[in-house]
Amino acid sequence: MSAEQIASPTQIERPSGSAGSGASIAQRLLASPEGYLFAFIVLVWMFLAAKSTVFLTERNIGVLLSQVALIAVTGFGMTLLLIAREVDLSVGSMQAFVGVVAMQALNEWHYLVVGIVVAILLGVIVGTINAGLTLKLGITSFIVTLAMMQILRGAAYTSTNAAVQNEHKLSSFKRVFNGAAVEDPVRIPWPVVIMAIFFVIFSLVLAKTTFGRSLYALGSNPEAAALSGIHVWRLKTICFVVTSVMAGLSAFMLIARMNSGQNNAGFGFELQVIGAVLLGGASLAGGKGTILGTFLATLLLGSLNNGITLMGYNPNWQWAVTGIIILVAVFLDSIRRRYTQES
Amino acid sequence: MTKTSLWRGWAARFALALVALLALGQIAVAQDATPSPDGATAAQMEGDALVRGLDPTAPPDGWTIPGKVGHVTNYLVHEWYQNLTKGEQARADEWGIDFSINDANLDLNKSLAAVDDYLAQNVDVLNFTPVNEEASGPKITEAATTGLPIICESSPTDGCTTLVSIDDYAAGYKVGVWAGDYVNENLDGKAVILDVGLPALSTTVNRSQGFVDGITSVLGENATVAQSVDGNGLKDVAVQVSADALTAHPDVNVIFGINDDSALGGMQSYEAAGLDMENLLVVGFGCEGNACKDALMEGGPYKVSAAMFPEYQGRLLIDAGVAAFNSTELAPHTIAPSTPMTADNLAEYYTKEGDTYTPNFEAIAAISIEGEK
Repeated sequence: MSAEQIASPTQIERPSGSAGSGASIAQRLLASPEGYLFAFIVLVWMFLAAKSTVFLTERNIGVLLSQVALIAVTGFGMTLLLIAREVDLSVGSMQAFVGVVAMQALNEWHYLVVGIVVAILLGVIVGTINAGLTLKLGITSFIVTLAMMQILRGAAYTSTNAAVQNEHKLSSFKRVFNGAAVEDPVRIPWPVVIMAIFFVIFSLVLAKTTFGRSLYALGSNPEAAALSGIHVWRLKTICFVVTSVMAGLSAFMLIARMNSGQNNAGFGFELQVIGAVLLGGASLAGGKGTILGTFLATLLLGSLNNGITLMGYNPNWQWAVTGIIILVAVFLDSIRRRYTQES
Repeated sequence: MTKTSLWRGWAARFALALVALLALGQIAVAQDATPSPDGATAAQMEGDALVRGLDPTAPPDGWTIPGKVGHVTNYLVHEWYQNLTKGEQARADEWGIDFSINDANLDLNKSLAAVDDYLAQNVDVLNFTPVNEEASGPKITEAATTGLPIICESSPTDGCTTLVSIDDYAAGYKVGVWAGDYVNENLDGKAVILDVGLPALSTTVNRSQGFVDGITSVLGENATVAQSVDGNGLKDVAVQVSADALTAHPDVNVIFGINDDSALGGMQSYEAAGLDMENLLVVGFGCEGNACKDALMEGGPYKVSAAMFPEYQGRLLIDAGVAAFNSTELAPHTIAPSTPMTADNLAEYYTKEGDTYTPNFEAIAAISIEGEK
């Protein structure tokens, strides 16, 4: 039995019979978690556009997508990890630790590529340690990465007494977050381009490769996957490393945005990422989730946060509203699933 | 159950909720209370003057130097507390005091447990920064009944012998007046303000309010607050909320931050939005670290910050403890100096050697605190 025979994204994610050829567009849309999220986003955007005249402006959409990029880029990696039935709580502390170390490296060597390589290398190291402890010692990834979260935060605090300021003044560095990759006909900031590139890569890997299909199979039924010859250990290690590397790259974009490496950055970031991935259709029980779902969920939560500030509400509502939206979306999604299964 | 009894049940719940809301309102009002010097006695004023003039090499006759002083801090990873405790340690060394720190890292339970730890260690003076001023009151009041001098920092807490802190409102007001004059001279006399605040703390609310009142005292109706956002005092959050607010209000030309990170975060968002940095004034608060001082010296839009001199406040904390240990009566609020610091007067208060800024204590001590409370 091959990985393809055990499961495919199509088999796992989309219950059959939900949207036949005669189904309306609305029914088809609501038949998948992604369509459902898309409809939700349209409603939220319509509401925000009615409430704020600047919401749909080019500038605000650019700001919104740039902010979403930080969470989405890490979220793409986290999606793989959750599909494989693992989780990484250390991605928030990575924002602080990688941030201060990468900024120190940039100050020392004055090459943008050095900072990026440092961020990636730290991601590889942290991801490998997370994988090793989880898979070799048999400790759950929740505990391993919780400990790693504390270790990295402590390392960030001890490696610098304060924020690491930008002393290198590289013009290319500022463009990582603040520059535009395209100016005409619309301004597209670099973080949006970076997010789009990773979106395409991760979507293709999950949907079109043996690795992707094996991952769904592994998450759906690890025992069966192992019996079918899937290298569980190897797949999970890759997922841990990829997640940490993506968190490292996200940290690099964050320091470019702040123009400094802050040792207190990224508090609660891991919850935003995991919340978005779960809202996007993934499950802590593994075997489910798509990159499109993660992106749409991130966009939905980002839109709400953006809208709350634009409308002048207390930004602390962002926390509560995010939680409420996740609960409501999951609840409505369960109703949708029941409906589609019955029909 | 009848309809009547159901209604009675709901009415009782509603009444309870109303009482709870009123009680919460009272707590909120109480949190805004700032000690007034009006209540200080002549003896307390004398004690205050004595604290400011103490010299470890020549203590007053008959004084005993405390052996151990402990400080329960609330957030030691912040640069403010690192520089504050550095000042405390240096002053304690001058007195020959054994000084230690126990950090709560924003955990109230840990903070209160640290007080118990220090009581068990028989410290002679306890310095205390509350994680939550209201919730810490009973513990500090209880500790004070043992006769232990408790010198509080940052926020007023019941039971403290004295509070060492700046007058946040006055510091905000002074820097607001400075900003008003700058706007008159350089920005056509009109200020559209983005306030990157922290509404959860009474001290930071006072900073924002003081700033707005100060700038309004100069510009009148030409000063308007476009939006107040909560940056949580963290740069990454400040950058995010400022970016959102600036899309709604691209006409903002004055950014006020309740600390260095908030001000710098707002400035970063402004630059990222592609707005004209020549038409921007950034006003910070604290200036405890190199980031603010370097930004002031760079000559960009970050022109002024309400300097709070953490190293000097550290000295005041230790000196107030030494005085209280020797039964000197202290005012409820030992006011620490603050002043608008700019590129022009930074060298007066700090001497730069390499990457290090060393405070000039004499110049800081000479800053007037007249009229502050």
